[in-house]
Amino acid sequence: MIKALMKKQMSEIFSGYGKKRDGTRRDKRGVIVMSVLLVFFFAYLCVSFYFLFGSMCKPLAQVGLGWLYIAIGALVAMIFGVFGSVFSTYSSLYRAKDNDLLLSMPIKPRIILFARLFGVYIWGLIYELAVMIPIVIAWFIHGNPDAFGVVFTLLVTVVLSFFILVLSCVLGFVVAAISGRMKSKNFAAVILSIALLAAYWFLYTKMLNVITDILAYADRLASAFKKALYPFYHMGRAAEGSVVSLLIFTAIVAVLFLTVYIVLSKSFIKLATVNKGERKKAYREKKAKGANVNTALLRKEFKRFTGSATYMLNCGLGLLFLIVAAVAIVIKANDLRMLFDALFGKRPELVALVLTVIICFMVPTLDITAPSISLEGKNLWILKVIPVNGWQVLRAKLSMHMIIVSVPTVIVFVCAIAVFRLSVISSMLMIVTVLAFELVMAEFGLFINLKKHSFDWTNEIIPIKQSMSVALTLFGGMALAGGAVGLFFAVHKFMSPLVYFICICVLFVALAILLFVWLRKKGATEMEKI
Amino acid sequence: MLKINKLTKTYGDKKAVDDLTLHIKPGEIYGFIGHNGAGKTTTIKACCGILQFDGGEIFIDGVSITKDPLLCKSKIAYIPDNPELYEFMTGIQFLNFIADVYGVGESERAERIEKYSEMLGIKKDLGQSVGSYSHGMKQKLAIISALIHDPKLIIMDEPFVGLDPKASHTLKLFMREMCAGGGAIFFSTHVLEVAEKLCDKVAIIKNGKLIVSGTMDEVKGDTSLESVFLELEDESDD
Repeated sequence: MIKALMKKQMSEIFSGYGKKRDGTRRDKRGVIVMSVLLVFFFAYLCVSFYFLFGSMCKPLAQVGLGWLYIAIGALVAMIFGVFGSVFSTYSSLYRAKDNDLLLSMPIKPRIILFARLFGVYIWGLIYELAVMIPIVIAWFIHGNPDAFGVVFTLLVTVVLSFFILVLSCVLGFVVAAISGRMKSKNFAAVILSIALLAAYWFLYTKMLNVITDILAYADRLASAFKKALYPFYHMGRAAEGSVVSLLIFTAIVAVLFLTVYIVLSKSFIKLATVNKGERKKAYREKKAKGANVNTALLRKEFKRFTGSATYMLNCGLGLLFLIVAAVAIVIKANDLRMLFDALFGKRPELVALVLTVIICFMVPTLDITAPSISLEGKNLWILKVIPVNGWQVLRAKLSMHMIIVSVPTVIVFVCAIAVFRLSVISSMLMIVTVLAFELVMAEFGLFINLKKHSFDWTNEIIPIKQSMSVALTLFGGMALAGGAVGLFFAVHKFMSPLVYFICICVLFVALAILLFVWLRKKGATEMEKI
Repeated sequence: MLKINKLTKTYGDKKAVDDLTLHIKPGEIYGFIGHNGAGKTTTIKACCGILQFDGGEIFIDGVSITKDPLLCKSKIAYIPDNPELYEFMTGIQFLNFIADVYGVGESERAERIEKYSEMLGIKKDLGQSVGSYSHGMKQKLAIISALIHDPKLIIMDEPFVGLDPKASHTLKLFMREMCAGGGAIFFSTHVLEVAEKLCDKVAIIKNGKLIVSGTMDEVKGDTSLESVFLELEDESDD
């Protein structure tokens, strides 16, 4: 029984490994490619952490603070493991779809819980090992632990994995409790993802400083660890060969694990069968504001976009790039002005051209229209039975894309024109070229999606992230922007930057008109025939 | 109100609907019966303009669905067997979206939403996202969205599936009320008892072909609709 449940749990974990996103099995070549990619990713993480921690290990070990090295590494491994496994806890422990099925079978709830915890444990272990393997290797090489130290290091690594499981269970419970009652989950998910991304980049860029600070203030850090992170202190001491610390660390984790296991096993049925819906609020009548059919369709498109964190994050990430670009232009105004003066002298049209190309490179990451037709999915029947034509549907998608994109674009324009004091002609060329390119990308996304749509997806991640339509729009747009740069180098000897700029502007405007006419006529008919 | 004239639709080599002719007049509740895969849903989808067909013609209130689909669609409402509605909207947002598309005035829509949601017992849930609705609740929302623009013809595919007894009863009241006002209803069902009690006329289809059609009395005579249906099914098999 327990073997069958654990097997099911493992198959859930690795279901994405042997299967494609559409549910079909990968062929042998696909499995090999996936294996190589996973091994490469794991090795990449290991190597990165090795170089990161390797530089800390020797100096700390030399001053007798080898335990601090292990403690810091364990803390990082714990954070990595908990964040890696917490969403598995959320989906497999607290929000598992087969809870009702399993609970209706003659299986003891604690066995179901055990199997589920096993799945969470494996996730945490995988993430923990990606950090701990290089840390332990660096420790064995530079820390010179004795025989006890070597054995105990391996033991505390195993014990740490249970500590991660405990924290993952607790945090998973909090995530489940909050998300079950949260109304704006999508925006919260987007903000959290962006915050994590920003934190990652911040830490990545400051990592050298962090390591230097750790080494410089090792003593203070050591006493802080002893006071505030007591289990990690003993984990580090155990890695140095202390039997007492090994026992204390193991005892702390064992007590925590048993407490959580007992609490979970006593409340598992309640947790698994609790009402999972959002907090219900009785509807209060409000006066509805009527709108015309085109506005209604546009509103629907906005709701579709803002109603999915996956859609916003994957197809709207370029918004963040544009806003960051605007902020960077303002903050680094002097540096950029000096750089541009040094590179281009007093040729403002060249500055405007370079800025235009940079913005154009960011624009394809805003591929909102590219999956928009496929995303109609099982709801497509609604657009087919209501009295709207194909062009009205396409226009709503196009308008939504352009409205979303134009706001940060205007901010970038204002910042760029003000900071670089661009001439009226350069400014106008930049504005028209970028807006035309944005329209081309929006239209191109629709064009490709009309040709390459799929409505039988089971998870919206497939049309959003893994569709031919999105890939072609993204890389096609980048190729077009890159082509504009390449062409400039090819013709700059016999064409002034201003003339070239005008040509590019005309080209993008012409492309935008061409695609618009196609969508208006053939595209609309194709939309109706889908 | 709805005229299906020699409708033919093929999928590959298979004729899903074969030379089907039906005429639904104003004021009629017309039942459409057949085994699974008989061609009911294909016919219904063709009538709503969802599916393009290979032969024949469909007229809604005298207008050809192929020649002026938008005008036809503005006169009808469709309730599918499995209502996949916009899960990113709340119930009230979905109803307002449909009302906007059909140009229903603010006071009229408010009145209709109030009336139908109250009768179907879904009013308090209109502020919830459609994603959190059960199948039955989605079905109720689809019914309200179908009635919100006061259509002349409602086409329904298995409308009673998933509805609780009270909602089923209410839907039957709506159907009768609409037909009394000169509207028409064309719906498919497997529940023969409901069809027998509710329908003025009935058509039985098998393998895409019409086997029998007419008033309920003409079709069932002195026996029950179930007996007639089973008898006809057996006869065709022979």
